[in-house]
Amino acid sequence: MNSSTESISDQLAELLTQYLKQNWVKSPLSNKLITASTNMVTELQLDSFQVMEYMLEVEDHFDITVDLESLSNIHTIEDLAGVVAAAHQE
Amino acid sequence: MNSIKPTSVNKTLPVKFTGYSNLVEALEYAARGDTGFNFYDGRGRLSSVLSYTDLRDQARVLARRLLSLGCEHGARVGIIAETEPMFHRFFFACQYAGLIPVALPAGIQLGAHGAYVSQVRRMLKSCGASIVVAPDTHANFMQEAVQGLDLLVAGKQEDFDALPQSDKDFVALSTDESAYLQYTSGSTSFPRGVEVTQKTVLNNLREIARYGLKLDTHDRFVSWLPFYHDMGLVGFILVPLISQLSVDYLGSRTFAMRPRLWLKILSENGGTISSAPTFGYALCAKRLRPSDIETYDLSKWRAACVGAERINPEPLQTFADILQPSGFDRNAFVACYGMAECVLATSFAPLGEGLGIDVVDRQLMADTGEARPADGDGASVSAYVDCGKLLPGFEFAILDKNGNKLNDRNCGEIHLKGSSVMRGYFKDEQSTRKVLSDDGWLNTGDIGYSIGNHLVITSRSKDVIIIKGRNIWPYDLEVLAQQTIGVKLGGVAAFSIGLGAHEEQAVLVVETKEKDQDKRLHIIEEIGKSVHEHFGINVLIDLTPRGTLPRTSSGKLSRSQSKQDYLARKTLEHVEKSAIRVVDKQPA
Repeated sequence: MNSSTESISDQLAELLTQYLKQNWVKSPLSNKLITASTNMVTELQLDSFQVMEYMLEVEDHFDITVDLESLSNIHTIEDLAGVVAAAHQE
Repeated sequence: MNSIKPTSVNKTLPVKFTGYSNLVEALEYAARGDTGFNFYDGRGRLSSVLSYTDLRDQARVLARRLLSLGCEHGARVGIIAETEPMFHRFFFACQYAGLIPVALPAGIQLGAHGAYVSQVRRMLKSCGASIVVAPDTHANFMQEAVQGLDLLVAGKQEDFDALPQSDKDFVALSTDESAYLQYTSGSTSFPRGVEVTQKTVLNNLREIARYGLKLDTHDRFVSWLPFYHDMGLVGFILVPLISQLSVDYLGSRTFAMRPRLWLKILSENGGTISSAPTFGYALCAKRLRPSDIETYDLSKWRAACVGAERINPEPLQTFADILQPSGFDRNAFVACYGMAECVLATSFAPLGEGLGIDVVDRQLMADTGEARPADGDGASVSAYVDCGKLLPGFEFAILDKNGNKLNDRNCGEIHLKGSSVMRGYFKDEQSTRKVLSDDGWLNTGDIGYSIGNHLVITSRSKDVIIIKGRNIWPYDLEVLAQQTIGVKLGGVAAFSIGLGAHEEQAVLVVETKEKDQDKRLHIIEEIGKSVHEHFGINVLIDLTPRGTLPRTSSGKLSRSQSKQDYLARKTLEHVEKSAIRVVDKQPA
């Protein structure tokens, strides 16, 4: 992970923390710190609509669009950070 | 700047619901008017317009290109059904060319690459597709899904547009042939494709248009439902087609991200007909901003249909309350009941009357199945929504476990017979026989009761787990869990439990002999991960020693007994925990 994806990961983790707080999402991790290695699929137990809601916030925040193929391969915050970084380089 | 304009409401063509022998004839008639389909992008901007006239012309050309491939009459064409004009073009090109279209899912969950590819692959194998087409966004997934399958062509739209046009005559699908295959939202391990004939689809379309919705020239449809679901395909492509009406589409993914766009389009275009499962209305209400409400004009929305799962009145009432200032009429709600096995719809509540709620004695219903009207609220009563009268082409029978007819207000299994009941599941005699009798009665598997000629549905498909509009078959969850190391084959029971008033939670009780705490946790994690990847839902996983799941005398696992045992166990744990807390409080 280079420094730019690291900082993106931090921002993504913060966005997700805020999202969980605002939406009272009950999560096994709600009291834990969300980090780059947090697996959004297995650890957070977000349903598909919550995932889309969070993705919308991510897209708006970074002004990018996450395509389906990328979405289907994202498991962790770090994976998502990679997608955001790649979109920014284009 | 955007200069295209959406198609108007029908101003010129006399409405004609009947007199067609296939979908081609219905399109040929609609193409004489100036209505059609309008597609909106992720920001709610009009991105493309496809009039019935353009659709007819483009579908004819594309049909000639498909014919150049030389596949046999009735060959299957899989179309990954994204909300794009491409779907309509291919669907109707198949109609002209005498090929059978099959809508394939386009929705993909986070991290679910592998699960999606294998789902599409299973469906392609099941229908024996000769041709597959995917939008650009799905092309790579499609190429993975077709690896090693014996197909004529798998390509993108542009690949087909590059084919030469055959000069052979069209032999369209005739009235007794298929119109399309509809995969039910059922089991993903064993996909079942309902064979919908031209005759059955036209029968259902006519009845929905004339009796269910009473459509007229000033009507306009708005939809975000996916085309690979019967409600999206039949309700918002084919019903408008047979009524020569315009439709405005929003992608399903766009709706999930920006549900407010649904109302914006309804408001701006004066939409009169739009449907959603209960959760769609709930999601929209949750994301509304107070400032939006004043800007919408929803006063033309005369039929807000609700179906696809058991209807929960509460979120709908909230939706109506919030949107009253926008002119939304709560009497616009129309409860509907139907299934792909009957094309789409079998009953509609009366138009303009809103939700009819039947309040019954909960305890009596649980004990005897009798739905006796009751006063009061809270825990002693249950409220169910009246789904109205059956369409004229249908009759129902409500039967008990032994197949005896039940009287009014007694819960039993709903059986239907009528003009749009399917011929069967495609090449699946065994599944067909399970639900369809020789004299044409369909066992819906749904539970409900009658009040005169009205139907009330109390639960959909006995076993099916419905979470946010998605039907999940317990069997599929059990199969997934059994693929985890340390879990015994046949030692898993899946079911759902109520979570609050109207939500369901999936539960898996899993037999294992594993005693090591870390390994037990690992099993739970693995199953949870796998279920989330394949279905996008969370499950509660409960491990139990081997041989403890209840089985019938024939050795078959009993899901309902497993559920009762589970609930009893949880109640006991709860009582024990409270007891400990009380003890804790005792002074030392």
